[in-house]
Amino acid sequence: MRINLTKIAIISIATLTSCDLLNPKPETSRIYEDGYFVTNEGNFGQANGSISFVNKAGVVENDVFAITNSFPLGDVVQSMSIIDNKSYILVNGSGKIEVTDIDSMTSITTIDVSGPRYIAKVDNSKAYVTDWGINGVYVIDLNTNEIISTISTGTGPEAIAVSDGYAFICNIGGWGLDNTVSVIDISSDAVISNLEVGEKPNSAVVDINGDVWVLTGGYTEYDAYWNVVSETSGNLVKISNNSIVSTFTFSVGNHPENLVINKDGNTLYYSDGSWSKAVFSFNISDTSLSNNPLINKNFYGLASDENYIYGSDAVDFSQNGWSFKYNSEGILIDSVQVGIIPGGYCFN
Amino acid sequence: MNRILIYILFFVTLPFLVDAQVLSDSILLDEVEIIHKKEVIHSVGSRLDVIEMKTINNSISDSFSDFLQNRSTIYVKKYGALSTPSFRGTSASHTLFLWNGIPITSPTTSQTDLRLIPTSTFENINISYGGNSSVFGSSSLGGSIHLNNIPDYQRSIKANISSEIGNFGKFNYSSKFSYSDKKINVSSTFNKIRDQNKFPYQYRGETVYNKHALVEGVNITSNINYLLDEKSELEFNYWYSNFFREIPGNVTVDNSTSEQKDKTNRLLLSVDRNYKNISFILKNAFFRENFNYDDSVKNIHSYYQSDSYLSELDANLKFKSIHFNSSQLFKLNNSDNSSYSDLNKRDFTFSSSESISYRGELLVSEFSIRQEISTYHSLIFIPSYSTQYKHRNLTIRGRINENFRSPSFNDRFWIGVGANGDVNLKAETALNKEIGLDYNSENVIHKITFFSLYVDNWIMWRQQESGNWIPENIKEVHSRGIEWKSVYKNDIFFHELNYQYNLSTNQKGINNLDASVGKQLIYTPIHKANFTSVYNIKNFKLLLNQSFNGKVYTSSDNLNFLDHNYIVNTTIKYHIKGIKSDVSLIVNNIGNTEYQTYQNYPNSGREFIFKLNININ
Repeated sequence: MRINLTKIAIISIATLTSCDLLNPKPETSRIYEDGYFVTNEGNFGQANGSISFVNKAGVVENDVFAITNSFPLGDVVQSMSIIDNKSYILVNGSGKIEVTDIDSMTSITTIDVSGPRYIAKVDNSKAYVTDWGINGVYVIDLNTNEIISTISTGTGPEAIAVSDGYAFICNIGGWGLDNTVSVIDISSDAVISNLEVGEKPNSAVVDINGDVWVLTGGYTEYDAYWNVVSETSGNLVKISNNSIVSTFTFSVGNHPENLVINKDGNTLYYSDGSWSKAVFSFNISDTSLSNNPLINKNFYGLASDENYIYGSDAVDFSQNGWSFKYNSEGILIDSVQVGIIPGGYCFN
Repeated sequence: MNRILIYILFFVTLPFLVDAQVLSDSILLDEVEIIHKKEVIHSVGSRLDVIEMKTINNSISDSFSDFLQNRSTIYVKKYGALSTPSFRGTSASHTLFLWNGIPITSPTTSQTDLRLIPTSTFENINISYGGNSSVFGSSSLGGSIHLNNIPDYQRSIKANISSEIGNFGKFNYSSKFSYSDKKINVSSTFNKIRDQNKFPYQYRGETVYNKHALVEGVNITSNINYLLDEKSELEFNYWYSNFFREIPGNVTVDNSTSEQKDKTNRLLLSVDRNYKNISFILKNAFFRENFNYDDSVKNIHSYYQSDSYLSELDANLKFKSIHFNSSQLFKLNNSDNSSYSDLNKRDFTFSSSESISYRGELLVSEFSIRQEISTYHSLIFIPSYSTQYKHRNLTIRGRINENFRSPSFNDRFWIGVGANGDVNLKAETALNKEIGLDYNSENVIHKITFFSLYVDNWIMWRQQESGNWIPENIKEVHSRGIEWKSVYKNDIFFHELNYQYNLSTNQKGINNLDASVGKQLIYTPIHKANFTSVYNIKNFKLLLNQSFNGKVYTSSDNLNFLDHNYIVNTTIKYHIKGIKSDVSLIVNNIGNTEYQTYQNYPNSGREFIFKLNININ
């Protein structure tokens, strides 16, 4: 394994060097074009969260935010999204959103929030930010980057999926418990319904048909001796026209998470397993969950772009982690060392 | 109401009786009392530092944190409201604190917060390096710190009042009173601390002020020693402490709203009886610890109340040069905690420690064992062998012993979304080996120690792939190094040098990607040194303290680190003879050096403290 990684690294460096010789980097903007970002949470309390940029040749530049802006990004970098040529970096522990120019990573402004999780653009002029600190959603004006209003949701609003004028907020439960998805009418910023999907909805995506898929983790309550007190299953739930149309149930005790979707919008990937997890795939027309993992590895963060699958490994959660890239067959094609506790991805 | 009663009982009534060892200075400790302390008796073969209190840079709010930072080779980590010690590369929970011989380390967290321990209320502090679990039990793994009240049976009535003010929002007050005669010694101390810690630092190119960092607290101690007859002494100690602290976030957190309250009540009653060749000491203690953590904005309210009852019977038997010591300790810990499954947990521990020693004039050797049975772990057999040989001014010494730490209540019982304790955790164990050479003369002390400490089953709370935090007996650490201490003193000056070279490496990886194997542990400097000089010139006393902390790594692969720092502190004291009082100007961090001991938590720059100290006797 280690030998493979070294080889890959050497090849990557060789590729970069030759590219550089042939095409010297243009001095103008677009430094962070053609590649993807990895958000590294950093250690809780230590404000050492960071952003890594991996270019097309597979070469990593770590700590791009702090290097560009000369101040630490912050405490627990939760997620990053690109909206209208700006990057929105949600820093959970520091309770802020850093807005930067996507080409240079230069800081544009800082939006003070409470405990932000995810951001999604919902129409031309506004975005929603889920926040555990307010058990709700901040509505951000994308022209001014200011908070316009807040919307109350369930407990611990997490992932957001946007489809057909509605936003679907997974209420994961925060430090408590919840089992709903809040459906918000984007035009009025009002919650129109709360769909009961199962305990701990953690992630959601929209497929090619505009249907929303929600993954719930299920819940296990232990006593002090690790005896199970109560337990519910994780579910994969399909929502069409704002109502639940089908539910696929996982084995009780498994806690599936990290639902992502490929570029074509027809294949879902997720992590599942009771103790050690693996990555499974699911075609939106499938009628049952697969028992055969696509990638037999436990990942901390999972993502998909084009037809690739990306997974991160935080090793001991105190050192630089790794990001692995697989093709749609589940074959490893690249790996790069990124920052401390890589948890999320952001594609340009 | 409770607070007022205590105040009335121990503060208002006692001034009419009283003592006072003028805050540390002028104390002439009874050497016999110190020699009879348990940690001194069992220090055979190891390094024990007896702190000369008069050489302390004596700001009232100087907590133990500042003292260890500046005057020992123990590394101190300060972050948020907390401050914790690290001996020889071990962690905060590997240091045992004892108060008059009884362990006070919190059963809930297995740690002691250095900021809650004042330096000015103890007559004697001993620091024992390398751990001695055979004698002191759990947590004495890297080392132990002994806080002692020492009676003085000389007829006197003393009182002392001091007050100080500092430029970052410090306003402190302290008083000390004592009464003693040939049979009784009564003393009481009171100190009140208020420190806003509003120091400036640079962030994002601007000067900003440290926010939400108020520390406010009271420490009250009361000690009564009474000689029942020629053979017996009765001793009562009480220590009350009540602190409120705002918890500042790291530099990137602009709006911290968390607060912490710590209240402790500690009572100890001891009786000792000495015959010619046999002596007994019976100690009974009750400790109550109250902790509250609140963050009203984030809606977090966490509390615990933990009660500990301890009873220890210590018997010593001398047969010419052969000494036997047997000590039986019963301990009951009961904790009500908002984060435990049915809110209440308790455990009961019985331990028995036996030692046999040969104490010749030149050669001293000791063998000790400890056995411990408690509700949650099986019997542990902890041996220790140490020996030392004295030749004129030189002593060569060595010790090999096993140490351990039982999992804390939090390690075992914590239940919460995102974190779960584990009842089945094993105790951490460590094998300590050290040899040393000491030179002692009237004016000069040199101590050099070579140590090797191998810790196994080290408990770490680790984030799992699921995001959950779980404690595991996962780490193996080898810590080794050299400690050097030199003291040169006479009537006019005092010089002290401390240096430590310490390699503490992680011995075990979790998978083949793990780049931390063989690397230095995080927050463990390889080099640490400090140099203190005290000069007495006529009515002036000048104290200069220089401390150097080597670079520390902040990630386990050693790719990230905090730079080394060099800090100079000074005190100028002027003694006003006529009124037996003095005024001092304390300047901390003269160079106004910006430094961090924990990533992204700034420390205070140059600070001025003005202090007035009045003695009445």
